[in-house]
Amino acid sequence: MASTVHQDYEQLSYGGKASQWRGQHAQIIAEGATNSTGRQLTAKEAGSLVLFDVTTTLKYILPTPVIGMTFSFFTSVSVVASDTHKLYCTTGSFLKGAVTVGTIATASAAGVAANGSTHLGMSSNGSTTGGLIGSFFTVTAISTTQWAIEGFLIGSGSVATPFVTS
Amino acid sequence: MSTTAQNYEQLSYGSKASQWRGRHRAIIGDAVATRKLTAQEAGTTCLFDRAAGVVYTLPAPVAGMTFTFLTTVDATSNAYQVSTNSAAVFLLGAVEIGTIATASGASFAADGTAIVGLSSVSGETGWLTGSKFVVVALNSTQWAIHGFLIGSGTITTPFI
Repeated sequence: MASTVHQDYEQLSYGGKASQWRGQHAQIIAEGATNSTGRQLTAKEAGSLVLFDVTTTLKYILPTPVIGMTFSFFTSVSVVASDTHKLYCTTGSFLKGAVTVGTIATASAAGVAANGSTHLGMSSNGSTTGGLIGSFFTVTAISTTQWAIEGFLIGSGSVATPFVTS
Repeated sequence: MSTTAQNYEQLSYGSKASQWRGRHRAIIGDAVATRKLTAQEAGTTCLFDRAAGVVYTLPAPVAGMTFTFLTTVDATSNAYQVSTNSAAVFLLGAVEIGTIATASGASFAADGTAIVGLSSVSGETGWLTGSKFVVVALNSTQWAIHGFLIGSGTITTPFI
């Protein structure tokens, strides 16, 4: 992103002082069912907390990135070993950043990176690549082709990257 | 569980999108021993700012309600604690605890069915400055929790 982009959006505007958002309640998106083809998230849902809330395969697909668009993801139900929790970008957009993957009660956490050029999604298998209860990450669109990602995944065993190129 | 559309006052999605500019979080930093949080205070950052400990009690959870907790003073006695409002309301998720400049990070889980609080009562359970975690109500009986605590020594679970 070459420069700050000023966007003409509806806003909590900066007037004479500043702004606060009190009594804040996030919109929660809970798919609550297996979805291997993918639940398409929309621009209107930006700002939501999206749940991975089934033991089976659940895939979310991000909308076309618009700078500043944000989604957070939380695993409320661990995925079983034979299935995966997935997040994919739309064609032509990629994840850039890193997450840490750690395991319960063992000093094992390691950072894994998404390169912003070939990593088009992530897949957690309930063990080495995260997907256990408590996994949390946030994506924020930083251009029309890249989502910044940061967060912490809970896994088990020898942790490995959840980021995928296909 | 399914997605619930809530009829709240909001920065609504009109023709384009919405932004929150000039953002300043409300801070709760009273340095008192105990503090009950209210629904109207959702969205605030609550400080652990008293060396002799602070115990926050969450309000009854309503889906989407969010609080952030940040440690700004190392504790030396009692606890930095967050408790649910009822023995029938639970924490679900995990936090990581790490120690300064040592490869030591480990995660600890809250099961959503028995865990009713996070209580850092020592360095081992993460009561040092820089600890930060977030709770988000998922429904009327569970708060999602995620975050990172700073500890020392042989780290162990802060969940109670």
